[in-house]
Amino acid sequence: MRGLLLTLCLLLGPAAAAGQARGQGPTGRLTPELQEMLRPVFEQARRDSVPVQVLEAKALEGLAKRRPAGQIAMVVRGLAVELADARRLLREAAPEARLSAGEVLAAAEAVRRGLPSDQVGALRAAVAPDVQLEIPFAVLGALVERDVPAADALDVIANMMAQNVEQARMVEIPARVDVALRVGAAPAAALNSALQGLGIRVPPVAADRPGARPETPRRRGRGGP
Amino acid sequence: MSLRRRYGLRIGSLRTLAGVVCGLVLVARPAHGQRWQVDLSGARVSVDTSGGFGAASLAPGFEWRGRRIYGLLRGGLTGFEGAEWAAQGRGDLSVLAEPWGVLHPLRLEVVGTGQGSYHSSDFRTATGRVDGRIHFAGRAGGAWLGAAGAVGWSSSDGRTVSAAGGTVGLWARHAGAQGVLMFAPLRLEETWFPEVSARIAVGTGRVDVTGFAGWRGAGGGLEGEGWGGADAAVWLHPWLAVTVGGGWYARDLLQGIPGGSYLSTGIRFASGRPEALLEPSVRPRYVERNGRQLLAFEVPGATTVEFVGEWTAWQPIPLARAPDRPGLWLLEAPLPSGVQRFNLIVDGERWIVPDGVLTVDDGFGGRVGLLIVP
Repeated sequence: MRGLLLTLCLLLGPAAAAGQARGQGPTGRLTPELQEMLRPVFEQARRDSVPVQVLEAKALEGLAKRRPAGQIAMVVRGLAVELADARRLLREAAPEARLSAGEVLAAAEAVRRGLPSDQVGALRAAVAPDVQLEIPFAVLGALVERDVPAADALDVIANMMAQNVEQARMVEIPARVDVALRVGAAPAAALNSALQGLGIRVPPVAADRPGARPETPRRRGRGGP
Repeated sequence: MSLRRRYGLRIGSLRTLAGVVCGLVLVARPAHGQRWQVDLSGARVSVDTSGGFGAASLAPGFEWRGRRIYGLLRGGLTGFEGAEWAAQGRGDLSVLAEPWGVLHPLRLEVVGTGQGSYHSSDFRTATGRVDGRIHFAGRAGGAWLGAAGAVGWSSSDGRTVSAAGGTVGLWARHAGAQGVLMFAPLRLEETWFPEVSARIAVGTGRVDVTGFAGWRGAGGGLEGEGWGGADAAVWLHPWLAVTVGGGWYARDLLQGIPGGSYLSTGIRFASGRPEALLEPSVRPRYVERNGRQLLAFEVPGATTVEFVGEWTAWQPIPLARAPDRPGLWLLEAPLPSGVQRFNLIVDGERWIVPDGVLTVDDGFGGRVGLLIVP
């Protein structure tokens, strides 16, 4: 009986949480004080076509972590700016692309982790408008955070996208890079190592090879000159 | 003759160890830039034609791995009983080509090996070998077919001998283990010597173990012979390991050096542990329960574990304790594809991101995990 209840709880829990979020609305779950503080942020976000649900989720996260309203509002305001910047970069690079909230957030996080902002647009421009880049941006951000030169990381991700490499394999790269870093490899070499270990062969980047990489200035990452 | 035999023992030992390392690298080619190591070891060795003796050696090594080029340099300075000494050196260079495209499973490889030695009695040897191979390489296994040519020289008779042959190999890799099986017949001065060898390398925890075995058929008045042994490194630190090894090694046909056996122990200083045997500790991972793929998190010692994140609108939901494995907690509901930001709440109060998960700053002074669901 206990097991059955637990199973029901597990199966219904997420749905119940989502239903609660739908019924009440994420904003409705915020405290009145926080709602008041964030109202102008959300209104501005709507005007800027910034995904408001991402901001609401961040506010809910702050509440769940029992942070003071003032801190939550500050974090959400900062995130709104990051999202607006990321969306602008993506939109300028691919005006016809359908941008998901997840992609905009992943791009913003990648920039926060050290990806040069111009390379956000470069990756968006390098792939078809209907391709979602949430996972690639998350992986890219993880690589840059590990001090892999941003241009190298971007080359690899763009080439994998061009070769239709499954994103499931892309996801494994950062953990493989960690292994190589742990045994003393330099970040760029660690990326090569990860690709070799996964059996992913990405050709060396040549500036004059059409489609091989986005048109982006090289070596502007944290590891570049 | 005694000197040569003693000398030959150390050379043979070095060849065996270097061969193991080289073979593993050629299979895995994990390419992680530069790496060096220095072994200080003591050994008890004996040759087939005389008794045993002690030796102490200093053996530096350096390897360089690129996307398509692998290079290995190893050397050794060995002191023997009786104030004799010897120096050895070996270099390997492998170049890979992908003429059918980077995603095509067929690849071409050329491997060159050069080796030389000098003994304090002015005894010298040298040998060189070139292998050409065509590989069929998969993600977890592969095979190759190749041809080889080699020459060898020894100062004892001043002669240069040549040899040629073929190689057929299979390799496989799973988790932290790699295995290689090779058939390499060699024709040396009008006589064929069939040779089969195998190696397996396993890396688990702090220990790397390599086992090797082989057999060479009779020919040219020489009897058939087998060899085998194991070497292990226990890593006390990413740059320090204790090594131990022992086994039997074959005679070197090209340099005329007899076979023998060895038992050695020592310490290894290195810029890092060889990566080929390590696997990333990717957690969480998926496990199968009753035909369903469930996301599993390792949280040892917890009484309760809850999942909280974007997918649950930051409302906690309990994870189920795996009935068959302590410390393993299961999320039984499927996550949608994409990037899910989450934390685990341990025992109702401790917010964590499990090991092996990508994290980002949550803006609140903590970290949030990125669960990437393809």
